[in-house]
Formats: sequence, C-alpha cells, structure tokens
Amino acid sequence: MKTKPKILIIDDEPIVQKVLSDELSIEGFMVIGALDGESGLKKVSKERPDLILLDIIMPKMDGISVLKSLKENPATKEIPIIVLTNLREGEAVSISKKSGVLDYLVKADYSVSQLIDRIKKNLLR
Amino acid sequence: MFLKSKIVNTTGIIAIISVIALFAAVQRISSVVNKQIEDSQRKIVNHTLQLVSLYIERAHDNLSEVAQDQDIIEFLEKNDSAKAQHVSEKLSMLMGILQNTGLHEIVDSKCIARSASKQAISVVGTDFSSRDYCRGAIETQDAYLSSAFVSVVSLEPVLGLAIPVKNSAGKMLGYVLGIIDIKRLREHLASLQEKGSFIVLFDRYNIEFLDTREKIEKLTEPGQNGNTVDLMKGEAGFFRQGDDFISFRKTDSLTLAVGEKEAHLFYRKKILLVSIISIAVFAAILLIVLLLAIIKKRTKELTEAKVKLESIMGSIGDAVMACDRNGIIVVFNKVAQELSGFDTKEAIGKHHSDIIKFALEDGKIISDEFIEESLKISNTINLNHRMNIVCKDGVRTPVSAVASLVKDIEGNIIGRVIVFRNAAKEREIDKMKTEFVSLASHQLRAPLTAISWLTEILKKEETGILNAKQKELVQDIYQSTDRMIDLVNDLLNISRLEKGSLAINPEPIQLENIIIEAINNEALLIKRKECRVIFKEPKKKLLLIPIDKYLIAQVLHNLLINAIRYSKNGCKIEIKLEKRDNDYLLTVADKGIGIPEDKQFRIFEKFFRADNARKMHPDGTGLGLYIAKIIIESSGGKIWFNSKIGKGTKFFIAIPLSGMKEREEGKKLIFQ
Repeated sequence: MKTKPKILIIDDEPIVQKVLSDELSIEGFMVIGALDGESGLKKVSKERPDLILLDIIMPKMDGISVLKSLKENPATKEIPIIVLTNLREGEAVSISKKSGVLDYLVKADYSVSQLIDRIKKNLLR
Repeated sequence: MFLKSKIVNTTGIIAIISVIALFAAVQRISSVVNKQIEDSQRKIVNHTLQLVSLYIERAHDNLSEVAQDQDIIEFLEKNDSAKAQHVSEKLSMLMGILQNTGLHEIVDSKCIARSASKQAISVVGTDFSSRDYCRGAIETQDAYLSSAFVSVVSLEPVLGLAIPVKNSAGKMLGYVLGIIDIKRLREHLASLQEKGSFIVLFDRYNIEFLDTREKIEKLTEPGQNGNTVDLMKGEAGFFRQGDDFISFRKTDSLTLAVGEKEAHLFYRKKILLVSIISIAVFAAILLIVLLLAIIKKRTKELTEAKVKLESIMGSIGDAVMACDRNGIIVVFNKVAQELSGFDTKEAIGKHHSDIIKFALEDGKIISDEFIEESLKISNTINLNHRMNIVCKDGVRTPVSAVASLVKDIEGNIIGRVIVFRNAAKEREIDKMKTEFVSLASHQLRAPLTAISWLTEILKKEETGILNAKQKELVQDIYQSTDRMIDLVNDLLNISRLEKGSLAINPEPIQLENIIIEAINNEALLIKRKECRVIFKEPKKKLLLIPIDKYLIAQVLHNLLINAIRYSKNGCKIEIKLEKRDNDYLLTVADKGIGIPEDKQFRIFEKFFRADNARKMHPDGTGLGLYIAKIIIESSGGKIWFNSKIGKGTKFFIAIPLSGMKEREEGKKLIFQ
C-alpha cells in the first residue's frame, strides 16, 4: 500500500466526524469529511475517495439522494459505500441495500473499535 | 300511589255500574217473568174460549148439514124424530167438552118447542122466547150461552145454550137448545187445569159460576160474586190477587180468568236465582277487573323495566350483544348496530356467528373461537389486541371486546354477553405512541452513541494515560451508557412487538454454532462472574435448520445473562441441545437463586421481576423473558421452565424439527 486509502465521511454529526476521523487516522487512513450531502457530493468528485461512509439523515441533501446520484454517475458508481446511520428500518434500508452498498451499519450497535474493524474488513475484501 | 288510587277508582266505578246493571237485570227479568206468566195464562184463556166457540160452531154446522134446506118445522113435521134424536145425540157428542146433560129441545124460528129430549121437562108447544139464552141467540142470530141458573130438573147449576139452525140460503129455521151441566163442565175444565193453575168463569152478568181454586164441593154458589170481578176491567187483562196472578178475557157471554197460584213464590225463587247468578257474575266481573288491573300494573311495571333496560342499553357507549345458551342473540344495542351494520331487528333471533364476525388484523376470522372460548373456560375473556369487527358490508373496524358468561342465581350458564367498542382511536393513539417511542429511541441513540464512542476513546488512553480512579470512573460511564442503549433498544423492541407481529426470517443454519457464538458474546460477563458455561452438543451433528439467527441469538442472550446474573460468582451454567422425536430441545440450566414458587406464573409478564431477582440485580428491565417468549411462540416453538428457590432454574426451548416459522410482514427487532 503505497498511498494511504482515502475515506470520505459524509455525516452531519461533528462528534461522529471527530471520533471516526481520529480513529481511522490512527489506523493509517487518510480521512476527509463533509457535514451535509451536497458538500459530500462535491468532495467525492474532487477527492475521489477509496471509501465513503454515508449517513442518511442530513441537512440540504439526504444520504439516499447522495447514494442515488453517486450510483447514477459512471465516474463514481464504483466507489464502495458503507451506510453508517442510526436508522434501522424503513425505506432507507431497502433502497440502500438494493443500490449495492458495501455494508449497512447502525451506529449504536457498534463500539468504535468494532466499527473500525468492520470498515477495515470491508476495505480489504 | 297514584296507580293504586286509579285502580281503586276504576274498580269503584265498575262496581257501581255493575250494581246498576244488576238492578236493571232484575227488573227486566221480573218483567219478563210477569210477561211470560201473563202470556201463558192468556194462551190458556184464549184456548179455552176458542174451544168453547169451536164446539158451538161445529154443533151449528152439523145441525145445518142435517137440516139441509129444509125448514126445521118441515123437518119436524115429517116427524122424523129418530133423526132429531140423532141430531140431538150428535150435538151432545159434539158438545162433549161441555158435557151436555142430555137436556135439549128443538125450537122453531119463533122459539116454540117442536121437539124435546126424554129428560126435558118442557113439552112441544112451549114458548122459549122468554128464555134469556134463546133471546140472546135471536138477538145475535148466533150461538148464545146464557148465565148460570139452577135446573129445575136436576137442581144443579146449568148453562143454557142456543144454537141457531139456518138453511143454505141463510134462512133461520129454528134453534137447538141445550142445557150444560156446570158441574161436568167444571170437572172438564178442572182436568184441563195445570198444576198450580186455576180457572174462574163468570157469566155475562159477571156472576161467577166456576172457580177451580176451591174444592169442587165448596164451589161458589151461583150468584156469588167475588171481588175478583172488580179487578177485571176492560176486555182483557192481567192482575195480581194475593199470591195469585190472574189473566182474563171477556166475551159477550162469558168471562174467563186463568190464574197461577202462588206465582210470586216461583217469581221470588226465580228472582233469587237470578240474583245469585247476578251476584256471582258481578263477583266474577269484579275479580276479572281486579285481575286485569293487577295484570295491567304488572305489565306496566315490566314494560317500564324493559324500557328502562332498553334505554340503559341504548345509552351505553359500548356495543352490547347478549346471546342465550344456544348463541341466539337476545340483546343488540344501538352501538352494536352502528358497529356491525346490522339492525337490532335483523340481529335478534339469529345466531351470533351470523351477525358478529371478528377478525384478527392479519385477516383470519376468529368469530366463533373467541365467543365459544368464553363458554369453555367459564370465565370472562378480554380481546383487546389487534381485532377487527367485520361489518355487514365487509368493512373492518378495529374493536376491543370482552365476552362474559351470564349465570342465573344458581350459577347455571344461561347465556353470554359480548361487549365491544370501537378501538380505532385507541389503535391510532397506540400507533402514535409507538411512533413516538421509535423516534425518541432514534434521537436518544445518536447522543448515546456519541457518549459511548467518546468514553471508549478515553478508556483506550489514546488521549493520555488515566490514573486508576479515572479509569474506574470512565468504565462506569461506559457501562452506564451501554445499559442506556440496551434499555432504549428494549423499549423500542417492546413497542414493535406490541405494534404488530414480529418479522421472522429463517435461513438454514447450524444451530450449534449459533449457541457457541451466543456464549462467546457473553464472554465479558462470564469472565467477570468467574462462571463456567458448559455446552453439551448433540451426539450427532445436526443438519442445517431454518432459523432466524438474530432472533434465536436474542433469546439465548436473554436466557444466558439471566442465568449468569442470578447465580453466584464461580457458578456453573449448563447448556444442552438435543434432537428429540418432534423437536430440538434446548436447555439452559443454572444453580442460581431460582424463582419464588408463588411468582412463577408471572415470570413471562412484561416488566415483571421477582423480588429476589430485583434485590440481586436492581437494573434489570423485566423484558428479557417477555421478549424471549414472544419470539419462540411466534415462530412455532415452546418455552417453559422448572425452578426451585435457592436451587436453580432450568429453561427449556423446543423448536420444531421444521425450524422456525417464517413471517415476513412484521417488524424487526433491534439486537444488542
């Protein structure tokens, strides 16, 4: 691994941003963040991340719309996405799973270290 | 009170009317009786007079027939005395009723005697024109009966009778004279008299010559005139003399009176009888009126009670349906009408299963099961969850219902009452509550996750080394947060379980592996309590079984942490899995505090915790076994336990050989 894998966290929760970016950095990832869907999309085209951690409920543009536009764009549709949210049910779950996301994780179910493990496992797949 | 006085009034009025009617009836009856007596006596009078007239006429006719056209003198000049004798005899015979004494004469048109019978004292040539009966016949040109007089021959009272003889041209030929013996006449009339009846005869001068009231020997002497005659005014009449009732009729030559002796006694008896009957009838009428009044009062009371009951039934805000022992509807109130769409009239008399259909929210109609169940267990059944009523038009309305038995005083079951009400609003509120809990849980989870994650980082000492006290505090924060997340998840799960059925997604798995994984998940707790968990696997490795691994893991988690929490440090927990003929049996056995015997029946209740469990571990929610039971039973399995206080508890789970039942349309649980 010559360059550090680049992870984009799209989440409106600053604490999530802070904790995950700290922990992922320690694990040797390069982490960038976006606090809403719109800026998240911009960062994707600009930064070309290796993995996107995507929240669902966000201001300006929600995670589902971000997911759809990423999958519709041939330039971005191959980027692996992990949905990381506190939503457990409803449309969001089924749409995400149908869109071919790498994983669908509910934040509350995991400790930070479990989450990092899971992200790492997904990236190595 | 008012009712009572009304009855008294009514009865009084009816009594007065009855008395008046009674008097009127007696009056009417007495007048009818009088009239009947009068009529019968008149008939006798008329009959007797007719008889007398008839015989006189017949005598005349016969004589005329014999006389043909001949002059009576010619007839006599021919000296056909044999013929005359024959005529005379015939006359006697014809006048049999009058019992001719045999004295007769034949006189010519000037009343000169032309012939006489042997017994006659007069001789041919005697002028009879001065005899009053002859004079009467000459004057009237008709048969004539004289007043009574004493025969100079027999010295007996007699009557004179003159019968004119005419030829066919109507020319008067002469007269046949006869003397009638009154004694014999009397005897004849006496034979005619009915028992209790009597006859009085007066001649044309109102001289009484016959009175059958007296003994024949003591017959009134001719010429004696009783006071009776004074009472006979007019042509005909009816009067009362002493105890007797007498009616009379006058003709030119005769007055006949017929009486009834002591008729008033008969009359009195009749009146008495009529009175008794009337009083009896009156009493009966009074009784009937009284009965009617009582019946009316009872009916009114019953009607009032019925109206009261109906208005109560109508005013009840819940639907009420009552059935008799055979399930036939007898009460069906207004709300029941509104909820079911059936009219009360339509519903009453039909079997409840034809009218009221209940259905579970998933569509299965359970009408009978529910109502019949109440009969089986002899008790009240509450159905307050997820039930709809299927209306007449097929529309389903959410209801909650209670079925109870109706028993008589002796405790015999006489029917059932089903009370149900529209639960649409309740369900709506329930839904809102669930949604609120759901949202609240989501919202709570975000900051809790943040606290948990931040504490975790602190604990890792990435941000600096913590001293022993700090470490302990951070650990406390971390554990509390974890518990809080668990609690939020549990609450959310409960709201899901109550909102609807549970989603079950079985997939073929190796059950042994799931159990091992479940034990590993509790490694921290096991380590802290220094416990040993032993898993006795089945002798032969099981085939893959369709099982929802998340759900079964949840159940195992709940049973395992209970087993560990409620056992002493260093305890031994034994988990056993075996294949039986019809199912897989999973046993989780501990040697912990056990469940108090009197609390065992409540152990699967939501939020229930036994006192000893509460004391040992104050933080439990009382939801673990409740959730486990719902999961196992919803998927077609069974869960039960054995427990002895202070000795330990053994939980058993039976899963069918076919695995867990799939159920798609449901809610997923949140797993720790």
